[in-house]
Amino acid sequence: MPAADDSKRKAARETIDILHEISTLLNTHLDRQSLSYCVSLIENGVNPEALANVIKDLRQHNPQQRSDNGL
Amino acid sequence: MGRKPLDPAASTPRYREQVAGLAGAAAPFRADNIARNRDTGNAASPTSHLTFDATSKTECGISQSSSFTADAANMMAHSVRPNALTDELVEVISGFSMEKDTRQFKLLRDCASKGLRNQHYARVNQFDVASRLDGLIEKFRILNNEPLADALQTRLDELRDQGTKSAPEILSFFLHLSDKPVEKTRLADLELLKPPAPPPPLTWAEIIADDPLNEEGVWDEVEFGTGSNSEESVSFDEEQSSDRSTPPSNPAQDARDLPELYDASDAAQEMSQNIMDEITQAQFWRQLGSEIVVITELQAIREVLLMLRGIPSSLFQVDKYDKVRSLRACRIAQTSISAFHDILDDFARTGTILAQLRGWTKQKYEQVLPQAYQASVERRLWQFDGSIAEIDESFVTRTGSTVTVSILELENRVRYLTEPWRSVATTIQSDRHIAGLDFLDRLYERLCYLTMEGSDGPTLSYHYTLYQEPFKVYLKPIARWMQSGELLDDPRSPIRLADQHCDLGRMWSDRFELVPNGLEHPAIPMKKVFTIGKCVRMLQELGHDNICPAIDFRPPAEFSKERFEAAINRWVDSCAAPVITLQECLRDSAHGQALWKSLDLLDGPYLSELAIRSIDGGDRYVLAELTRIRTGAPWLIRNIMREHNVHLCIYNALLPLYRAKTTLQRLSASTRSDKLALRQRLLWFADTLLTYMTMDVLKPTLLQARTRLRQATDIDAMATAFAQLVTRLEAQLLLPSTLKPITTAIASLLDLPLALSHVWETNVTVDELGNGYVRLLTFVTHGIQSISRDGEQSWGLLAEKLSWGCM
Repeated sequence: MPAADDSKRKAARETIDILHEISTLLNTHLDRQSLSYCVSLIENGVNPEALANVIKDLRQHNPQQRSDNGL
Repeated sequence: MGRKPLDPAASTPRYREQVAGLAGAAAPFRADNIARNRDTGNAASPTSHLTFDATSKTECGISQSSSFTADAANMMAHSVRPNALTDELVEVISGFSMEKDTRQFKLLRDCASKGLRNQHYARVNQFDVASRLDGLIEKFRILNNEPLADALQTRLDELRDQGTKSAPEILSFFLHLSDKPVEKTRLADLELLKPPAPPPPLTWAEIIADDPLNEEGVWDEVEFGTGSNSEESVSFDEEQSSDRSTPPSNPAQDARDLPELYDASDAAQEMSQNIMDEITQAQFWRQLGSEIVVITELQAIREVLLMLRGIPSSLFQVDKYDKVRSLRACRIAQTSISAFHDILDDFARTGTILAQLRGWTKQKYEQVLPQAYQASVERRLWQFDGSIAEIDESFVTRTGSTVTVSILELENRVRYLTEPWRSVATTIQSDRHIAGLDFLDRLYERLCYLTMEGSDGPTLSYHYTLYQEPFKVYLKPIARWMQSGELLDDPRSPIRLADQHCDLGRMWSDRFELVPNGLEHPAIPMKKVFTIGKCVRMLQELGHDNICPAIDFRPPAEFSKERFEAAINRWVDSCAAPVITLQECLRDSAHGQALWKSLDLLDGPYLSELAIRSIDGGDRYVLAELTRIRTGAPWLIRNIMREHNVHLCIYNALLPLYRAKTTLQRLSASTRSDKLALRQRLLWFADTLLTYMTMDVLKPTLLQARTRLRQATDIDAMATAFAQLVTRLEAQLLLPSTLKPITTAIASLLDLPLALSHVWETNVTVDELGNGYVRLLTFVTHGIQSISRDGEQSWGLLAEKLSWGCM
């Protein structure tokens, strides 16, 4: 049903929008693309704390990390 | 055959790449493989270890050796998608990509994967998360940052309204990652999130202003010819339309005006001829011919895996009967030819079972139960394919860990994975009549047999899973009947519509019938099911809707005959609400009143009154009343008080007694002592019988019936109680034909008052009448005494009373 799929996509977009805004307010330095990957991982059962630690770890390796201001 | 286990949910390009890599497009891998074998040298031992990237262990310090769990099927769907996401995430966050910084990327990715799989964290406590967020909002407010607090609160509320399932986990994740929001967050950051406003749409006025449509030839027919590049021969550019004098096949024109074309040659990479040769060599199947080709153990393994998944393979051949045969075209260096071929034959036997199962799933059945079973088997085969694909993947995807390449180890693993399938294949093959109606019963018997045999867990579990789907399909009509009283056209069902148009008063007994046909599942209490459905129909006739919510059957997690059958019984009981509802209807409402009133009409006082009325000449009234007793009850009550004439019998028994009494009472005074004595005795006899009927028969029997009806749990029980009442009444009224001599004698006795009344005023002696009385009374008394030994207790009482009259 295309109509139902459309509304699902629309609902998913709205949720991601809200989550992106919350993550910005909490100053997580996540851009929209990273955020959607993280949300997918969490929905697939990854532990949130584990994921957060992995991200912190990865950020440390990013050569641009020091100048990156989060968006 | 040849189905690839693609997870339809995954859609990222990288995932598709991986699967394509898994499914046997092995050229790039084989090239690498050959390069490595050259480096490490072919080991002489039967198992050769192939190390991917031996020098790079993960930063975490552990080189992972792959270990397979048997039921890797479930892992397939879960692990491939997060792997793809992990890759994307690593790329985006770390800035390293697979193409440009392969080594660092792989290190980071392995670390990330390990980190993500770490389960040593506490589960998210959603209340804790909520309280931390509340605390944060509170902090914002305390530090005079109301707009931020409101912004956060609003969005949390919006998120809650969305009803996202993993919201607590996601929020917990944010909290772990948040970086001093109280100090650093600015509300202006939210504005930056908004996408820039799109440019206003182009209007025709602007287009025309830019390029007016009044040039010469602009409205003429356009010729579409084939240009140098046929796909670009249609020009959308308005500038070009003014140059239509030149054919649109001008390459220079095209190149200038059309958008930049993607040059396909950019995508091609120059390869050296060596690599081409290596690839061609690695495609060993091109060299198959008369000579035996030597292949590597890994190539052999991958060919076996292809065959097991039903994909055409170079080492095996499948005939039209789905029998797999290994070809004697290749060998591996590590083993002898005959040993290798033995191994391949073993795989071929397994492959045959799988191929035949796959072939069977394509067969068309008309019955819905075999179709459901086929769907179950197909689903499980799909999962099996996933396990095999995972094994295959381990040889293709380089994870920086060591993978053992051993065809013998593969043999063991495959044997373990396919063990349950052998049993399933035996079931299907030995059952030539799968389309038969008792197919489900045979499956169930097999399950019970496997349990008794102590069959191993996976095999029993496979059979049980495969059984559940057709069983659920089988339950559907039963569930439908119990929940809405609907009968589906199902040849297995023993419940039939017997008489669709029968009177409502006989709906319970006559409209439906339960005809056991040997196809019912042994565990299902069909009689209970039948009763429940009938109650639903009755309640529908009474105007009740939505009688029972649909409750699904939940099979126990593990199979044992007792547990399964207990679960079925529990399910049927859970659907039994309509029975109770109907009973409540019968007892409490107007129907209950009608039931008791109907019983009252059978009691002594009312029928006696009718008898007296009749004697006084009110025949028509009496007749009407007697008919009303029969037909006047509400239809629901008539289902309980089935066709009967007992009230007529009682009436017909009472009538002569009252008639006798009336006749005797109307006799005038007399001085003849013999006549008086006879009159007295006849009166006594009539009274004795009347007392017997009203006090010893009707009253207690009806009382007992009322108790039984109150205690009855369903209509069947009530109808039985009523039927028993009728039988007992008829017996105690001496109606059975075996007692005819007695009743004839009683009738003769009751004729005596009339005879007496004829001679009352005359001088005729009544000796003859008196003798007749004594003779008849003695006969009746002895007769009742003899039947009372084995019969009703009340007969004994009657016999005793009558015996006083014989003295």
